[in-house]
Amino acid sequence: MLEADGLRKVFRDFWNRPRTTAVDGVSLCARPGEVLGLLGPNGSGKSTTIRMLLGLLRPTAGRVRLFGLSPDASRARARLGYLPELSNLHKFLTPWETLEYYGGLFGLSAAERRARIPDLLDSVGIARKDAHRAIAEFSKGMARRVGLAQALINDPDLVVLDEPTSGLDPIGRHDVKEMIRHLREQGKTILLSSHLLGEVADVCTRVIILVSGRIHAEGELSALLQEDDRFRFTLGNLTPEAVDEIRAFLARYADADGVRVDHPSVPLEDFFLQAVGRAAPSASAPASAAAPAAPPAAQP
Amino acid sequence: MRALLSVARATALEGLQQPAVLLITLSCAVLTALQPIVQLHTFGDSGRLARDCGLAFLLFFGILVCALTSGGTLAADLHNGTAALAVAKPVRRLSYLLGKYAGSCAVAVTFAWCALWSVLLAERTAEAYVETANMAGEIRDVLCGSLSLAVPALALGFAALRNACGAHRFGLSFFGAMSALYPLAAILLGWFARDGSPVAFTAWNPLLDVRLFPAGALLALLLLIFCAITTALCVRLPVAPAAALSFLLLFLGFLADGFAQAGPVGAVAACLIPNVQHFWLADSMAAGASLSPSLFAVTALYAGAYAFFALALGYAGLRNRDL
Repeated sequence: MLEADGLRKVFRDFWNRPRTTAVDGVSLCARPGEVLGLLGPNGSGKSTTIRMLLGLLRPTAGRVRLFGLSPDASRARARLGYLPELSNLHKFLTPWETLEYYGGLFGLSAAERRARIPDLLDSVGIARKDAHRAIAEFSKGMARRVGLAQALINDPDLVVLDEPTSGLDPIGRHDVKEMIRHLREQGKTILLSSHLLGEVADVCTRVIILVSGRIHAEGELSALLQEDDRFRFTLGNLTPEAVDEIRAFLARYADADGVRVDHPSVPLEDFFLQAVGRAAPSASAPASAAAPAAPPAAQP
Repeated sequence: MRALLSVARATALEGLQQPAVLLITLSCAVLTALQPIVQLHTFGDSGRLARDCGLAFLLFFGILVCALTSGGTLAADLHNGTAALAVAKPVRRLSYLLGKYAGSCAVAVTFAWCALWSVLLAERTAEAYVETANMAGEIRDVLCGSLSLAVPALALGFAALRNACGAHRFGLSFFGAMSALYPLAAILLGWFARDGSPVAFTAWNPLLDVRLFPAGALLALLLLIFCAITTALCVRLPVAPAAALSFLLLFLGFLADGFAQAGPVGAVAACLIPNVQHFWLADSMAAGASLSPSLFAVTALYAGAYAFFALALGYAGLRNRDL
């Protein structure tokens, strides 16, 4: 579906002298139906890699195939959805016009666009009253939601998301993660670039870790994170006596310092969503906290 | 094709909503309308002065509009990543560039339409010798001058009202109103003589110099060339240097005929720079000439070839540009 082999990108100065090697020998492959995470600190070459994969940057060396075609091929791009690191939308257009515009770039007819746009706006949490306001009036998070909608306007087979939750509040982040899960359930392939580890851990099936433009680790997330030399038991509520008894029992098989018994904690994001849901059950703009957002089904 | 039209439409919408484009159009219209009112020492050439100044304003302000729309939107899109987002869709870079050019041409033509009508009305406003039953002498058409000043004011008011009441876009409403009100004003003036007295309904005559239409059309063609030049330049340059280079080319373009007679190097230079003299009809009009259809066709062909040449260079710059 998406293959890159030996990608290298050297940025040059005005005099064509090499200035920075942003990506150096990156090879990757996104398989159908998987959520591939591209992880790395700032400046590790994630966005440069993505832009080379999409044909926006010309690689200094290496080869990219998108659906078996060159990334410049219109047939390949017609099956692709892309959300850049910054939304980069026309600020004078409204969300509705923005989706009309990008739908037009995909060659969708007016009827198709009209059918798809309301569902998409709903799925990213843009209220109907905001659909006809200029994007210049929107917050960064709201503009990000419109950016996400434009990435899905063509019902793509491959969705490339570069820092999709950048600028979003916890509710928005939760929405995006739910949307990614939903897309995965629909069989879409997703390439997700992020430096937020929790975000990647929640949705990705496989990750690639980039550091200074090179791949430093790659594999299934569960395999990468599993500590084979440690065990964890999760039990229901116990009396203090039972806890002491189990601790003493376990101490017979492991070093006493290595046995840890405590109460698990709820992730802060879950707690926040519950708190917001309790405080304003009907006020929160997106339906995210209560029900996962879902992109619209493909139009025939 | 649909993608190209989408890019063109978005570019035209953006161009017409830019406050700078609105202010330039407003300045051009008001200066053209005021010019026959404030001029001194016309030596009987008041109409010609109004016409020449108006056409010069159309050209000067038009090139600014071209730089701001074709150059400004493309340079900004390339800088902030909007172009990359569009090109990541099934849109060829050539289609994107042509869409940008087509959109900016739409803005330039809208500007030229408004500016040309203001020149037509200014030419009528200027002093002219009139003989009536009551008087004979040079008079200024006060009614026409008032209407040509009222049109921009009315357009602003209309746009403000639509924006306040229905949240309609100010820029689009303004240009829509300007484009419609100028011809309406001209039609209305057909029932008034230069001294402001009404004429019979059947004696309708707007007293406009219709030779200004081909003159304005030629300048609009020249603006399309400059749209192509600024589009090509902004593939690699920010808008300010692109605008400065455009004005340099305009200046050199006026000297193109002189270059052509200055040896082989001059002849090559004359081929490379746009020959503005082909598009400047004001002097011929003063001599009583008018534009023949064949000459117009040849000039349009020249404009098309030059724009093609400029856009080809622009595409060469964009084709492998990192976005």
